[in-house]
Amino acid sequence: MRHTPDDFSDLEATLRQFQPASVSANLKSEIDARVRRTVSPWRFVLAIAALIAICMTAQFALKGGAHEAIVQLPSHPQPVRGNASPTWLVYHQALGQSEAALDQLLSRQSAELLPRLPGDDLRVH
Amino acid sequence: MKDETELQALFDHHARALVLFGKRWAVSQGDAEDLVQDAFVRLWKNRERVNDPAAYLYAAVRTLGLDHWKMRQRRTQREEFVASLRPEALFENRPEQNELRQNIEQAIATLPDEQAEVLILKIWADLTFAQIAEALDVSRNTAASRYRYAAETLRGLLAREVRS
Repeated sequence: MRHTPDDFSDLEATLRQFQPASVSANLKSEIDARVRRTVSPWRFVLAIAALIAICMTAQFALKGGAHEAIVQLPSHPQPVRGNASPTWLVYHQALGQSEAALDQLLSRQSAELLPRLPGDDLRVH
Repeated sequence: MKDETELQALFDHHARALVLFGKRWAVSQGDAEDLVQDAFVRLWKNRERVNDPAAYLYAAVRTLGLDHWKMRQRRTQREEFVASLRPEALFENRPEQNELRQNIEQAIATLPDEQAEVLILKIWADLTFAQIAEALDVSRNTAASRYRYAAETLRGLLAREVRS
């Protein structure tokens, strides 16, 4: 039987007698497991949006709480508003710092931040 | 692609040919299977945008394989890499076909990479030239001519074995 140059049916028949080597038995189940774990892009976007919403809510709550904390400090209402970070305040209160200790800390911060005038060093000594 | 059932059907039909294709760049069967696994996950993630899942899978295995190859070459010296190669049978065969299988594997190994790729995709993946063109990012004519060159070379090398 003669073949035209572009007729490779004889060769193809010979090659197709052989099947590619078999694959591992667990390959399919591993792919299935990974596919199930794959997060769809829409779910990912929703998760990010939810995370942003939670962060914004938490930040709002922290700021609100901090203002209350500032008001509750009797001795140094003004310096506290001017020099302390509200988040920092709430954090220290949450850690159980006493109001007096907190007050002392804030006073020191305020003093450090006040502009120094010529002659300050003389007054100290 | 619609759902996981279709993905499983693709696996049943193409897994072996995909692993055979992946062996062009992988050292071992395990490495080739990892490439195939990654290709299926990639297909699943992009299923909304993929027109031809079969062509996509082979294209993904090729891309991942080339990355794997480059990474491996960076990590190891060439000599170590060649020494680590363990020849594994590409095909299953009956015992009496051992010699023919070895001759076919040797003949394929002599082909230029681009011809061997097309041959595997045409014979064992059973893709059309249009699908091969998509998988390899070449024109249909290029895919067809590469196949013709590969087949002519193989017919010459396997003249004794090929029925005529």
